Amino acid sequence: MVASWRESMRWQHTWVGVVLGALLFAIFWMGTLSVFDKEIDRWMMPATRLAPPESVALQSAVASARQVAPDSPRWRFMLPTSRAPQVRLYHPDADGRLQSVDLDPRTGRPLPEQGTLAGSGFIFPFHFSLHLKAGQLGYWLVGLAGMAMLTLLVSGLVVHRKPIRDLFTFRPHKRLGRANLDLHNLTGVVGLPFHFIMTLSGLIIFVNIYFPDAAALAYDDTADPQGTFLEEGLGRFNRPPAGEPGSLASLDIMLSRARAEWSGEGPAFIRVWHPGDAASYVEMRRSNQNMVRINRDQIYFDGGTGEVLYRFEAKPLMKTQRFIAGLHFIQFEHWPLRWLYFGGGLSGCVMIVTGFIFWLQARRKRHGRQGAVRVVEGLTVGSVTGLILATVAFFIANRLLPLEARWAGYERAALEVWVFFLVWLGAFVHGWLQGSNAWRGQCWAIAGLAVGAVALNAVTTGDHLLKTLAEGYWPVAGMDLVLLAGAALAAWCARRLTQRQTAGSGEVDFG
Amino acid sequence: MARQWSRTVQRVGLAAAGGYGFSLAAVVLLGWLLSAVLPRSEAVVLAAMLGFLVYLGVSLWAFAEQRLLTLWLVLGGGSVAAWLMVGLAPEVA
Amino acid sequence: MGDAFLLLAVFGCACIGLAWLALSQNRHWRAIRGGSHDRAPVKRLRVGGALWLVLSLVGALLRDGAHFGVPLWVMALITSGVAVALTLAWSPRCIEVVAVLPLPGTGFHRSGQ
Repeated sequence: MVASWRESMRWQHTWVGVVLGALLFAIFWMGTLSVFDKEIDRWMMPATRLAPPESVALQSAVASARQVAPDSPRWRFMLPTSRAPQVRLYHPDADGRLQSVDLDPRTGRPLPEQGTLAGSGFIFPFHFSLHLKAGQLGYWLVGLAGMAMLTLLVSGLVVHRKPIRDLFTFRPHKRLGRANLDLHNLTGVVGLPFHFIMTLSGLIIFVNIYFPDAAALAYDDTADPQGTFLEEGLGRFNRPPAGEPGSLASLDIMLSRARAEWSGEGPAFIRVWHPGDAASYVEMRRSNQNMVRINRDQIYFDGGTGEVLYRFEAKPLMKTQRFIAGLHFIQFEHWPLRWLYFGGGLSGCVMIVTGFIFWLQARRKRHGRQGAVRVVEGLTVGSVTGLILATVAFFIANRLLPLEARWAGYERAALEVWVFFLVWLGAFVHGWLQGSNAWRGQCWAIAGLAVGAVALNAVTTGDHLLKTLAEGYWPVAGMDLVLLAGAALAAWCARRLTQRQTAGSGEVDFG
Repeated sequence: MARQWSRTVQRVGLAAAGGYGFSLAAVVLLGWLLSAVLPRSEAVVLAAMLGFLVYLGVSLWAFAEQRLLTLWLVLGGGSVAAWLMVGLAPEVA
Repeated sequence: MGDAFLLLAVFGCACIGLAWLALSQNRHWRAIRGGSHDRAPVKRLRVGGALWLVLSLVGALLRDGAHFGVPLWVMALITSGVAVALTLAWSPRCIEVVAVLPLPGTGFHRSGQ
């Protein structure tokens, strides 16, 4: 019975891993980069490379909102943090789509349009929605992959007979197959707490999407069970517009009242509902910078008088859910943890790649070259080095496209995304045509493009590495250094693959 | 061969879809039961968080259990229960 | 400054503790010490290793409090675990250097020679 249990887990681990590995790698990779999404924003949006402001010119920001989005039903001002120095104004347009403008925090005036989705607009949403908008398809695919990841972690532990005995075992001097499996086990078992908590917390963030009917019985006496549950659990205040014009009282006074309520801490954002209407109101949500929890502490003010209308703080178990979500989001200020998360994410990527390589090498030995091996090899190359290549190409496109670029009806930001997807597609085609030889070519391409991205940043913005290091401007210096380190790693991999090829049979032999 | 494929497809489908239905039933029912002792928003959010662990357990079990009939009865039955509870609940009120 | 020192202590204690736990295992003991694993002070290495890890946790809690300290400790353990494994693979001598910082009185650093 025990043997067949292990056997069934081995089957599960093998096939769920191969089928969903590509999707999982994409989610892990984008999640790893999202740890530094704001820093990627600074790199890709040079006009926002500002020092964090002492205070924010709120009245001027409101004046800008009146000009930019006079008819919008709401304005949300994301206030500056140490990582994002600008005020970002979100407002739904006439079709209900969310638009954003970055404002200078000192003057409240709009900053020059940067024409990019950058880290927080492309890489971060890719991580949880894959940019598939249709009917939340992307969220559900990511959710399915997340659940599969949890089962893979458990089944992997079952398949691995001696996880404790081999805990610290890595034998790089043995044949590559052994070293590869050791690396898979090492990143999988030692990294297990991180991978498990991150995957589970990622699912728990979207508890409302994945269990949209959770409240069906508990709230069966209400017309809208889930909606009522969310209102009670997360706090919500609603007031319809009056349809008559009204004024907006001073946001600064409301802000200082909120600060007093939250022991000196300011809000993460200020949202003005029905601006310009007599029934307008102002929502403030407490900042997350000094706590793990993505809190739901809210204060609502009457727009005209500045009186407090409604206050909310979540109950303990909902706070727990928000704590778990916060562990995943890391919106808090803690640089050691941020880098450790980055490393943890990369170790997850290594775990997935080594899993693929193990599958390929086992099958190649058994049956020689086969259709399935070929297909999976192309899939692996495209989804691993191809995705990395596409990401670096995205950075390159950001530095090469002129600000006013537009082509065939596409905005500049969309063009960057097109570059990303076309390069990715090309990498898959290359992988399927070239098989295992594609690894080397794509590694060289990554190395070249990453160095190119650093050079282009220096040329197009003047913020070269010597300058940013001397000034201690870490968002851009850090991004450049990570790109260079990535380039070195890719070049090292490419060289090792070449040595292996010249020494061996002309095939990259993982066995 | 075809029979083997059919069994595999059933098993994977039961693990993913049946597992989800079963977990949803557990979440809905547990949320309702816990609301006797907790504020009900708290009961629902706790039940929903636990739902992922239930899903993890049953979807692994779906690969380990040899008899497909058992899987159909438990996971299929759970899904039907979820469908009944979610579909009929508002009419009960 | 105190923060930086505590951070170093969190990682240092985690590395030493995990190195001790690794040395309590047959494979790594023999690779580094040679000779029979029977002579390894397994129990002392395990208890001592666990104590180092507790010390690392204390450092993390002192530095950041419970909410940030526990995640920091978990991540420090993972990072140190990978670091110990890689060190065992590439330069096991370094593990020996780490491991001969015993708790006073264990004296095991003479036992293998």
